[in-house]
Amino acid sequence: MQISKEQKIRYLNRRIDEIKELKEYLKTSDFESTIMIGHRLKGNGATFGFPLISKIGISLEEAARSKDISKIQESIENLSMSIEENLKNFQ
Amino acid sequence: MKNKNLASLVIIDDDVDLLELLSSFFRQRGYNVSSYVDARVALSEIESKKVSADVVISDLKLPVMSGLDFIKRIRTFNSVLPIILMTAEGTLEIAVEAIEAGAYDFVLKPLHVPQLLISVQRALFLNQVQVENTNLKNLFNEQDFLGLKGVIGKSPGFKKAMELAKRVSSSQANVIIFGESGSGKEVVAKAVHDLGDRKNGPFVAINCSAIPENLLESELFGYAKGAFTGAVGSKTGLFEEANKGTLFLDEIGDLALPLQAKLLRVLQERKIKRIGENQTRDITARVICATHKDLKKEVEKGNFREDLYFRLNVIPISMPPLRERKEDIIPLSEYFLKKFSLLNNASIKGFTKQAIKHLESLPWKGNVRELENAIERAVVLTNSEYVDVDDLPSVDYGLSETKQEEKGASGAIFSINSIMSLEDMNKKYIEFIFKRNGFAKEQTAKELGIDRKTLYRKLKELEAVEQLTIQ
Repeated sequence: MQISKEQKIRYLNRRIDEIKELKEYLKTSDFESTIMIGHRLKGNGATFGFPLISKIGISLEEAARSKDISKIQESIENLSMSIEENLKNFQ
Repeated sequence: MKNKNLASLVIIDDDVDLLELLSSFFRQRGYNVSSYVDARVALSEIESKKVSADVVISDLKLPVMSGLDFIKRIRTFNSVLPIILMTAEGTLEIAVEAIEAGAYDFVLKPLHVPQLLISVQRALFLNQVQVENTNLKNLFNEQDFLGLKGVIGKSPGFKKAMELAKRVSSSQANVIIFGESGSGKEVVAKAVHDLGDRKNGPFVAINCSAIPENLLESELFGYAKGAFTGAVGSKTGLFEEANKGTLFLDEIGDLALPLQAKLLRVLQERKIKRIGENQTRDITARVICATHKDLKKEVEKGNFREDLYFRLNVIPISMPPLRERKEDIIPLSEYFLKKFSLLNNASIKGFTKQAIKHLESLPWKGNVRELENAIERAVVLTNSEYVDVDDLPSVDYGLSETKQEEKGASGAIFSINSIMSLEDMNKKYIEFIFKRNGFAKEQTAKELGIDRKTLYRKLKELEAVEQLTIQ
């Protein structure tokens, strides 16, 4: 299935908003909401052609389930870098 | 047949990105897509029929109502709607739980969208088969006259026959049904059976004119092992098979005289002997007979035993020919149209006004059977949503169909443009006369100068004609 460049860019931009949300959840220790986002990334990343984002989603979901703050932080950073890199490739 | 590209999909996912992606993917392929982030809203709109749904694709893990809860709620009012669940949790337990809850399929995230498309196409096919199956069941289970299934008619003649059938159903009196070929004599016999105490027993029907005399005797009475050459085992006859039920002897007027004597004895004594056996066996089957012949005249001619005539003629029921009950033509036509539309996957909505007038004006020499054949042919051949006059037989049905082919420029019925064998010529001529008589066997046999049994045999040889005609 062919996913257009526009669809991919829109997907990545939405993740930028999600990173902001994740950082907020981290501050308030809202693990449930973090699990939801991790789970969603796991499901949609590879579908849009970003298998690494799916992998990050898996790590994020697992870290939130075990309430491992440092691993959550690490996943958020990885996600941020991956999005930045992919967006650069589209410029 | 429903065009798969007009199918309606409902997609539910709280992941807006996936929702947009899938909606766009399926819309590009001609599907009508309704998308929801909240399963409760989707549920309410499907239930109230605000949205049309042929297949639902839903995420398993949803914030307020989960995909499993969604399926359980849907199943309270719709047992067949296919639901495909998507999930990022790829465990066997969840898959089993989903299927047990009533999911049609289970696809894993990250999605392989072409795989999802295949699943949707399969679900649509399943849905279509289920809907057709339900429609057919409904059609055949329609409770019509006297609560009988699939019995269609509202004319006074039809009602009179069926009401009499109901009155005699609980008695043990012998019943004989008179009526032209194809008029529905077996429907009356079945009604007597279904409305009476024997409804849970077997209904066994046999056409006495369709089977040679010597075979008919062994069919009716059965035989013992070694009774005649080729009797390698014993055989139960139809009288015994119909025990506690009904034996319907159609075209009793064509029964040979020696068998008439045997039938009379069975009706008097309620006992039979298998061929080649001395032991008598009690029979409990109710015997219902039918004929297209005027038995009184047959008695006068010496073709039918008077004592059997009086024995059978306790309660005569007459089923009028279709031309004498024109009120039944349209209800029957509509019933056959629905039946054959479903069987042929055709979406035919009905008849044009002209077609209705035309149907009512035709003579229907072959009665309901001929009408059924004509409607089946129209359903198969029409290119329109409504059956029109052109799709139906013309007034000189049979002759009109064959005249171009067989009348030829000379005006003769048959012009021989190429050499054909005598056998082919015979077949063609029988087919021609049969069609011209609206598939009425008696008239055809008379015109051809042969008896009905010979006609039956010859018709069986005519495979093409056989498909067109008699049950």
